[in-house]
Amino acid sequence: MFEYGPHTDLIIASYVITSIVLLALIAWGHLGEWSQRKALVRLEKQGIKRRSSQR
Amino acid sequence: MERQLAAVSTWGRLGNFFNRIANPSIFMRFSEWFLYVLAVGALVCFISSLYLIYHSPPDLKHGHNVKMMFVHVPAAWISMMGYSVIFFSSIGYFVWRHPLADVSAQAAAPIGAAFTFLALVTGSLWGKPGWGTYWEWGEPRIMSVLILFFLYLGLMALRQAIEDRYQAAISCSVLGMVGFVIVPIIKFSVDWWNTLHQPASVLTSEGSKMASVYQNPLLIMGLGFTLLFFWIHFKKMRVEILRRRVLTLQMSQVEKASRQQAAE
Repeated sequence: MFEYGPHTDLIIASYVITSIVLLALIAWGHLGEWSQRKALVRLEKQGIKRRSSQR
Repeated sequence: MERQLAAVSTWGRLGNFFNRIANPSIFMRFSEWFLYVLAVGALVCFISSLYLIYHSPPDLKHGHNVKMMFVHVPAAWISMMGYSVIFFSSIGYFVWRHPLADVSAQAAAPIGAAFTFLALVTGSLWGKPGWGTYWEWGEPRIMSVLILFFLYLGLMALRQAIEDRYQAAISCSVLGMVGFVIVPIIKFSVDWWNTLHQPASVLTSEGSKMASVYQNPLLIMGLGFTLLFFWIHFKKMRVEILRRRVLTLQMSQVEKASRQQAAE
């Protein structure tokens, strides 16, 4: 499918590494927001709320 | 006169817009739907550019190896754009002490580091067939990008090293502004010194020197990388705002508990 001459492995490696790093960044962003939201919900369950959400 | 007034009102509206979203709560609401716009835009750019790259012919000089350019060059552009975001955010914090500007600078550092890492690695892979080596110490473009990578790491380390949040923010904003000097050095390194690296071929004073069959997918990929950068940046800003809210609540819980203990 991908026949790009003697350096096909380097071409594929550059795309694979880029995909891995970009997907890791996306996952890192998602996981970060998920874990902080979970921490906020846990605190709210303990009755600790922000002033703005108590109004 | 009318044109000047229109320009002033446009700048005024833009200023009002930035003032509005500089409020963390408004930013959280705005970014919630804007993240979808960025994600869809990035996905469309990636799919269309990959299609064009797949069908692009081999280059006369680089052959099929030119395909590495479509990930290397956008990564290098974003590595510099990431530091520019830190630079403007640092000014925003240093001059106006706006907390969201500090959040923006803090969020951009690891993302910029990741894109700089990508630029170095993909450049190294592209260098092997072109230059006959993966790495060349003393090559001005490689060295200046490596310094940029260390600057990103330095910014992250500095923030971790200082316990007081406000002191850390001020120190990082100073480094963020001073370190910006590396961006024009990277851009013009190929003009100022004899380098192995080829000179600029898209952003030049005489316009682009690249054939449209390569330039179009490159620009679309560059736009996709830019949209993805801002998607991750906004996402990390949201994480940091939430983290600070959690920290504030935990602190208030500790204060409440210690007040109760003192009363008993």
